[in-house]
Amino acid sequence: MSLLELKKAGIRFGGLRAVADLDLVLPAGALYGLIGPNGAGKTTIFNLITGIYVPTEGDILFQGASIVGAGPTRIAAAGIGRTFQNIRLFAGLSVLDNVKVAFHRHLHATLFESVLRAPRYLADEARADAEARQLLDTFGLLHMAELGADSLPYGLRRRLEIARALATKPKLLLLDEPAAGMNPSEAEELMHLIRWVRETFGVTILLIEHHMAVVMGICERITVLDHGARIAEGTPAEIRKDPVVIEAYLGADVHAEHA
Amino acid sequence: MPPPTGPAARGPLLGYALFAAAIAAVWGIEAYAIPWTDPYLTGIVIRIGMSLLAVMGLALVLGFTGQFSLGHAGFMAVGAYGTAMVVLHTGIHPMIGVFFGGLAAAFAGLLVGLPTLRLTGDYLAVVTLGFNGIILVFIQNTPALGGAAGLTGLPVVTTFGWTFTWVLLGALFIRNLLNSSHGRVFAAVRDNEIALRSLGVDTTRAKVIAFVVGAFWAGVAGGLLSLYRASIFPSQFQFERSIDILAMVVLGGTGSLSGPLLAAAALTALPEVLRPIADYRMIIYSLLLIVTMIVRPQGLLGGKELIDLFRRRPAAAKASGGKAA
Repeated sequence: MSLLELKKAGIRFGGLRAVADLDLVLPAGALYGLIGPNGAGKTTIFNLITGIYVPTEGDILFQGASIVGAGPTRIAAAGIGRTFQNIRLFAGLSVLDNVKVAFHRHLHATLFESVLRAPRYLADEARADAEARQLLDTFGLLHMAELGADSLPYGLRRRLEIARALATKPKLLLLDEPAAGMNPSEAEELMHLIRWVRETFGVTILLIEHHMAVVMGICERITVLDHGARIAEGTPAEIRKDPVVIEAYLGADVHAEHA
Repeated sequence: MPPPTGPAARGPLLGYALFAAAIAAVWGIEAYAIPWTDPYLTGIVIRIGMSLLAVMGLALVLGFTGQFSLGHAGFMAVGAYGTAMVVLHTGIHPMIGVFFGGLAAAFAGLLVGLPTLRLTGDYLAVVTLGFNGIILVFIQNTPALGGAAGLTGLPVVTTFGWTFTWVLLGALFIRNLLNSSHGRVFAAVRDNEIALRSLGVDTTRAKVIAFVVGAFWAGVAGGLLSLYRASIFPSQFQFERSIDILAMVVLGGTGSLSGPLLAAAALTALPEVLRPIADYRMIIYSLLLIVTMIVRPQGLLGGKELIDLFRRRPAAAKASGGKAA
């Protein structure tokens, strides 16, 4: 069964059709890439899936049920985690607390139990702390747990954001340009990290990426977008040879200038 | 920062013991020091206590959760008149009346917050500003609440002991709340709401919790005020008072609990010190604000607590909230 399915999904902003008629099927366990030139609507698709935008047409199914209109909080709770193109960490919190926030939904203590430091609060807190530390450990960030998240170098912020998203125990993880701003060796390391995340956490991954080496290197299938519509779909080898894709990227035609 | 499990590992008993000792100290002072203290001075201290209660609520809402509320005096009014009604019309102990006043304010906070806090942006500031005005007009036009002439004949029970018992309760409540999973969520709301939603956390709920808790303690402050001078008037809860409380939080520092409390104490005492030059009071007050905003825009203790200043630790790690107050 497919984990995520977009059926003719699309959104209009006034007269602009940012995404149109998009069909996308993501089987469980997939590592799937979404590529396209700037402004092709890739992040818009992430925002549609995660409920930040509500599609004006079509349907989005997660585990067979429609998630259209459920809102970001409930969609995240249903098992879709994400990272952001412009990293969105909680700058005022420590590295550890950034991850612990993600456990909030799973805690049982009431407000008054928290305030009175009741046994259930203490148990909650100890569990969240242990799990967060373990997660940071697997990501090699444990020695930085007490540092402020804003004091991390860029590459580690990306890493922390992925760790934080995984703390919600998602079934599907959306990565929005994880290699942005990275040099080739950092991108290489990231590829290993993404593969490792899929194996270790058993998540299905959908990623947006401009870094072709990364996309072609790790994705099993790729959808190529241009002007909000799908122009190609297939394995990296097929995509590389597709004349339509080459045109969209390199602008074989002069008319593309006006787009 | 100590790992946030610190208190958990140590158990809450030490905290409870310290709290009990602090309560005992307050009542010790009440019994042995207050009778020999100049009533004028005691009065100032009591009013500082009421400011502390009002400010700690707004520090939670504005300083930690990042929600701009401009009507804190409105919640004090609800607490004051709620307490007055309960005390005048039932025979219960006035301090239980103060608790009900707090509950009334919390309920008002729920009514105001529920529709408004779903939105991001400046809506809350506008709505709370309106709420402050509406509540005063309502009181002024309700004969049962004494109208513009105020409500008189209330018992005078707001002593040093009771005021600071409430202050300690409030400080413990808010400090523990901030230093819990809720506190982390409040700070995350302030830093990045979209990211927080992507983690499956209901941000509206978190904001409403902070807002209702803040309103409760403002209500308690109002309740104590109503039982302080035997009478209350709507004019005590005007917009200017909301701004006073706001200034205390901003001066003391956002993301800090002890900072705003310090500022509340200073700014409540300041008008008394400046009484000889009363005509220039507002000028000095304004200048103080302007200078602070230029020299130290994060406020006195922005993001820190008083106790952090005495710890030999790099300030790199910012905690989830008020580690200590």
